[in-house]
Amino acid sequence: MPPVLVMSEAAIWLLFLVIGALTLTFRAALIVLAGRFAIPPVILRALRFVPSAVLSALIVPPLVFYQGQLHLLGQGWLNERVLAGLIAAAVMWRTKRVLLAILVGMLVLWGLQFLINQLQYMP
Amino acid sequence: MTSKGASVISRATEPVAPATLTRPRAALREGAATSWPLLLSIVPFGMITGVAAIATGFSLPLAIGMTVIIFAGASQLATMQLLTTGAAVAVIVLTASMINLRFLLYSASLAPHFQHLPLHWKLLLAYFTTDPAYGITIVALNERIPIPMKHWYYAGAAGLLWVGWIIGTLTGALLGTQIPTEWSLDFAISLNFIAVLIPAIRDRATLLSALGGGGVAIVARGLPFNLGLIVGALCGIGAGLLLEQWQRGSGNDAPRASDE
Repeated sequence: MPPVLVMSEAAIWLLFLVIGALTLTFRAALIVLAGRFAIPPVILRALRFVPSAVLSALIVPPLVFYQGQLHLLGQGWLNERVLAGLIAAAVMWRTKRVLLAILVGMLVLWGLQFLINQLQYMP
Repeated sequence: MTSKGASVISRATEPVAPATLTRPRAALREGAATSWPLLLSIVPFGMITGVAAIATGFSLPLAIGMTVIIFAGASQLATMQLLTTGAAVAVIVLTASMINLRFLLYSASLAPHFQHLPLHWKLLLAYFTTDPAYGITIVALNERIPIPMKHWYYAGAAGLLWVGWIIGTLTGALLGTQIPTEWSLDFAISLNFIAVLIPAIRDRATLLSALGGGGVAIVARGLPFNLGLIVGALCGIGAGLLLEQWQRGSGNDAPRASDE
């Protein structure tokens, strides 16, 4: 599936500049304005939950939806991406090693894709 | 990345006679010596980002430009994923911003160390700030780097990671054009997010925020412009805050993360 970008190259450059400017603002804001004002405590407490909530909301839907249909564990009979993702998550949880988790996840995905292909051609 | 950071942090806190760090070059070198083991994870992560950029349909200049301009892996991967699903521009900007909001925390924590510097130094050091750069340097900055050397030390540590990240992205982007789509390398983006997500789950409240964020995102997926992502994320944050509040109220304090 060759990727189709709906935005023009110029529009994407502009998008990068906007995101880059905002990101630099977050990075620099308190270093530049040091001591001039304090962040409200509730914001600081909410920031703690941003990575877990945002990353989860970002990765879960593309894993469980296949061609517009919800397949928690089954796509036909098995959603190989969910299974490979869960195994990678378990590896990460146990070992805290990023590269190992990614490697295991890819190998599991390739193995499952191979198996599914084999089964499809069985009589 | 976090776990590796922790092991090197403990080494970085071993007592070193502060008198040795009086020259900028020595401080730069010491910073680089602190952060170089992280290159083992930074360079491959950059490569995956570069491969993903080509898989998304970016030209080589776009792939490198994104890394230099945004310089934040998770938000770059999210931006690419959303671009391929045709999300609205506002949703892409909002998502990337939410992912990068955590830099405010680092900014707050680094601010006292760089207070005495001119603006251009502050901006440069802010631009260099990443999760591993902050994680690997903050203890040494707090405890043993003398004030006149702090910016050199941080520039050495974070600047080396910047170089590694750029080299990784460039290599990945050059390789990416030759990798067949049957390899499903786009799945490496999902795996990368999983690898970043798991260490972010540290206690019950963060676990609930992840479950809430992912669960609501599934239910709300039908919303236009990919808004389900934002709704899910906000619900997850709210759920985490509520549980934390409730745990405090009942005197059953969960371990509070004051480190980041």
